[in-house]
Amino acid sequence: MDEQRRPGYTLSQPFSNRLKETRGLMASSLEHQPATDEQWRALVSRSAHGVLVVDSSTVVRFANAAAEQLLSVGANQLIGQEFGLPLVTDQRTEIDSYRPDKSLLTLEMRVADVTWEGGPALVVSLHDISGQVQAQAGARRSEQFARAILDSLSAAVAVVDADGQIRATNAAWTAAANRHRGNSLLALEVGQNYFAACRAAAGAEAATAGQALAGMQAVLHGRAPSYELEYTVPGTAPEVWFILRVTPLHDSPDHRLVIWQTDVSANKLAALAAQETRLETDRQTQRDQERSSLERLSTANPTPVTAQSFGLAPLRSELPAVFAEILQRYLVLFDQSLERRAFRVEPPISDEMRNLAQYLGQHRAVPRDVLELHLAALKTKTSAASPGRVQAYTEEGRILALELMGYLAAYYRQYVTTSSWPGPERRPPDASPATPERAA
Amino acid sequence: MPSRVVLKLYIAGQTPRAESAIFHLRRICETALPNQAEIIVVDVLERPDLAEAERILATPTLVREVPPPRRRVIGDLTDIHKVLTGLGLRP
Repeated sequence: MDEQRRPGYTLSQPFSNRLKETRGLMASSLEHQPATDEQWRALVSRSAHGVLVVDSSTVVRFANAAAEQLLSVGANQLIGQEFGLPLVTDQRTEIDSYRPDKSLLTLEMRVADVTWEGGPALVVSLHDISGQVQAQAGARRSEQFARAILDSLSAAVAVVDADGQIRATNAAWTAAANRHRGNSLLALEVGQNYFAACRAAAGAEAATAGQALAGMQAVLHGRAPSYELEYTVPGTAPEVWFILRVTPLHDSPDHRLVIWQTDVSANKLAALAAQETRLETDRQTQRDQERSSLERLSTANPTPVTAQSFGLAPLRSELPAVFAEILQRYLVLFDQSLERRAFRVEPPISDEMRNLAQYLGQHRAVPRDVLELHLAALKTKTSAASPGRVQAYTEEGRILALELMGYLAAYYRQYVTTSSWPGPERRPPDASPATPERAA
Repeated sequence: MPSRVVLKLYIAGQTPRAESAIFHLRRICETALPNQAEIIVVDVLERPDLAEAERILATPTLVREVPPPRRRVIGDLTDIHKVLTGLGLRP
């Protein structure tokens, strides 16, 4: 330790610096003129800092008025008292002085070696830092309060500076970041750069991150008061949705931004479910209308052309057994048709369809009979099916009915072109055919 | 090294500084004075009479009661060597 030798005492450099801080004018005399005991006593006796000199037995040999006040001891009461060996780390420590009213003063204690009245001694400097400690405690409490508010928010919150550096996050952000490690807009922590992360986002997230970055820049530069973006996290099942909000942090000197992220997956999925319900209701209405139309067509009086050409009653009422048999075959085709749709396979249903149309033709079936057949099949298949399956039967059934109708038309066209008209008479399957190919 | 050591620690209230002093004193005793040190903790706010009798000026103050003569240190107890030297307990 550097020491300045003075007549009467030796003052170590750090303590000299301390005195210079508190008594600048007097310090100049310490540096340039020899200081006597009297000068030194005069100097420290007026110091606002408490000053004690303790000898090698740790007994107080000198104390100024400030020390007496700080240690709540009467005038000249300290001299001769045992203080104890002052222990400090890095030249300072903090101790408590208790007062008669049980309040505490926090004192900063500094120690320096001196030679006092010809012997080794220690100069102990005491400085009341209670106000400073209370201010620090107040600041800590204020920070803890702000942190508690931040952590009590259910939204994930991060504060970023104008360069995009994340300065603070709350507990919800940390938890959400841990849950969604694949979300490059969320899986970030204090110290990382949010803007850089947005720029680095690739793949399915690149577009979203680009929009978020543009929004943040707009808020940062005052072009927008706030910014909001709803986005989905790619590759999540069930799908995860977030709303990202960006607002400026008011009164922040360096133009900070607050980024709020809220997991809205539950709301979003509920909205999607409601939308799906509405769509399903619409589809159901459409199906009901379609079925009503088919029923109207099938139950209407025979068209004059059909009636005149064939003079036939509906197949269903005239030959119920044949109708039931055809219906069973049609139902099988119905299922095969659905398989073709679901599994994208091509079961050989066309041949059976052609055979069925031929069978219908042999029984003088007319389009109304096909409609009735289709309607009966639709009712059978959709009575206890799920909405999705009902929709599939309805859509696939339309094609099936049209296909059957086409084959039936082709069957009749064959007789027209070959002039081999099958004739108008219809007989049950067990009756002997009136004309060739009329009965099964 | 004495076979029995009694150390009396004066603290003021249940403050972080007081808790730190107790913690470090226990560590010192476990490390350097195993099975031979007795610790007595006195809260000067609860027992001002004891502090007055001992003329404790500030806390934390640690007093070696046994073996005599009494020795005391005040301030930072984190450095085990400084504390033992200050109390005259270095071998």
